[in-house]
Amino acid sequence: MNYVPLPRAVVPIVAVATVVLLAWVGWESILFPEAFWAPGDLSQYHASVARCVHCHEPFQGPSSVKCQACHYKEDFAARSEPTVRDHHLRVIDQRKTCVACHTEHRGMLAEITTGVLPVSKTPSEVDE
Amino acid sequence: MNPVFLRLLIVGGLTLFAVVGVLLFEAILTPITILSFGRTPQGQVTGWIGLAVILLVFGYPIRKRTHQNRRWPHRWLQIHMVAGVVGPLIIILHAGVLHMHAVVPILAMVAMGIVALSGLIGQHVHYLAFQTLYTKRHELERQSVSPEEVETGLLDTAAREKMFRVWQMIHAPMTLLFIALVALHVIGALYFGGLYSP
Repeated sequence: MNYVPLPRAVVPIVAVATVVLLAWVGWESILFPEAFWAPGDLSQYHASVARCVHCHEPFQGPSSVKCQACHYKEDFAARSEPTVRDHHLRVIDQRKTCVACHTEHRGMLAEITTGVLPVSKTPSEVDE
Repeated sequence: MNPVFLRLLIVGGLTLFAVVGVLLFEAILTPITILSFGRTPQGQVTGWIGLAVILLVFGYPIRKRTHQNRRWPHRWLQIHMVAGVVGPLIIILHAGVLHMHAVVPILAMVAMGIVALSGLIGQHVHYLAFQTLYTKRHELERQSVSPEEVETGLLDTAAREKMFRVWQMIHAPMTLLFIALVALHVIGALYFGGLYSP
């Protein structure tokens, strides 16, 4: 069987269309990265985050180190309720990942905390 | 009713039924309180499986171009047709149409749909083209041409048949655009989501 190739004009047209598409995606990604790449809108809690790299490490996903740029130990110590403070200080010390309990990009009104805080022991329970 | 049109209706109905079924299955798999199925590790694996199945479709066009002096690769065409339907269905399960947000994966999905749909239509284009060639076969056989030369002559004519060429100018270029969009989506997902998602 002889293979009959496509008409000669098709390949250049498709190549130009692909380049235009890639250029458009590249340009709009700079202006509206969330609309082009995110699986959902950021929640109200992170509405002020301007750029993806504020939270995402390239090819590593959401980085706990980047979370701590805003949610650091002193901030938890100063502003959080005791249960929340103790839990997060422990998580930071143990270098656990934030995304195990917190999930973003589920929409403006979504709650980002999906995990459950462990019940804190009272001082008498700790002594026992 | 024209047998070809009836076949088109049956294939179209089965396809629609399969797509709706996959979407319902995805809705069941989506944990309501947390993430859509596509964002779970299982959903991401489903995406990789769907991509692997879709890549099987390229066996047929590659075989046609690299083995031009051999017989028509009929088995590869069968793999091409099956993978061209099963692969997109797996991707629909991975994506879950109701949970789509980003433009790049949506465009990739639309391109995939156009390619898959044009492929289904292409089956019927091929059937009509070969039906036309059936009468030509009898003409060639009446001229006492050898069976091998009859086959070669018919396949050459089929490849040049006008309806088939028009269809090919839609199916093949859209496939190239689809490949570009899939590459963008995969690279973007790995870039923002990480190479390994727990």
